[in-house]
Amino acid sequence: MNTKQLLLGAVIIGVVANILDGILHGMLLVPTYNSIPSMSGMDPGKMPWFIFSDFVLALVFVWFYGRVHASFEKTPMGLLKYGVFFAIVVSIPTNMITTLIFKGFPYWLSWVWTLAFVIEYAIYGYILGMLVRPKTAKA
Amino acid sequence: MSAKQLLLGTLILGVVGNIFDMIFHGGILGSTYATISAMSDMANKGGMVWFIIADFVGAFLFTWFYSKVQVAFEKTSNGAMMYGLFLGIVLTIPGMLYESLMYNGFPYWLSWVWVIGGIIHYTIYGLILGMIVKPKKAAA
Repeated sequence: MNTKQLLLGAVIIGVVANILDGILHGMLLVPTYNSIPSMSGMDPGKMPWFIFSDFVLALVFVWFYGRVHASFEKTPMGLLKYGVFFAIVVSIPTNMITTLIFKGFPYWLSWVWTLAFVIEYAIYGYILGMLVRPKTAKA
Repeated sequence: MSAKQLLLGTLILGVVGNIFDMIFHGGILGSTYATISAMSDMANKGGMVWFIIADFVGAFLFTWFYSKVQVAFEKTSNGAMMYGLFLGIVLTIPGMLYESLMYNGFPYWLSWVWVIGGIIHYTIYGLILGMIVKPKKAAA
């Protein structure tokens, strides 16, 4: 993977991550978050950091792929598989520990997050697969 | 990677993970956690058993994922240690940095302590896993 692909992947996946997280965490799950005592003081002023973090997340996802690319087929489906594996490792058991650590964080929400991770990273993988797949030679 | 190596890796790393977490989270950081409002009823959930199980689940996934990507790393202790280092970065950044954004009273500096602790934790995992999976030298 070259630097251009790394940066392009980070930017595109970062944008997609922000859209998906905006829908899931910024809209669908807001009533739930507001009912959790340990999360009730979320400051809207932190929003730029959430946006920035999604670009960091995207950079880390693409960078790690650059390290392990030999293990996956260089196709959208091959990288979708990378995304699913990545999501499983990143979210389990971390999301489950969250419910043990933070006050009022419901167990079912840990699984919602995990399922969301798997879907989101599968999408990121598929997108990355379209960016890094080898170009077919012209006839 | 054979099933035996997967199970052995899970068992050994699970034990090491529990010892590490007991020292790091239970000992060194325990008094800090007691001062954070969002974590104040941590001890009331009877969660210790689940923390122990979670470390074995984490160890299993670490070992299983290595089996999927091992061709990208040298089959030596150092090669697996690099896998652990890289995965430590992946598992902690930006994940641990969200904690201070989301939870009441969780200090920003503690996120970075978790990042550094996590990277050390997984680098040690990699080093140990490398010793478990390295190819045996052929007999002379």
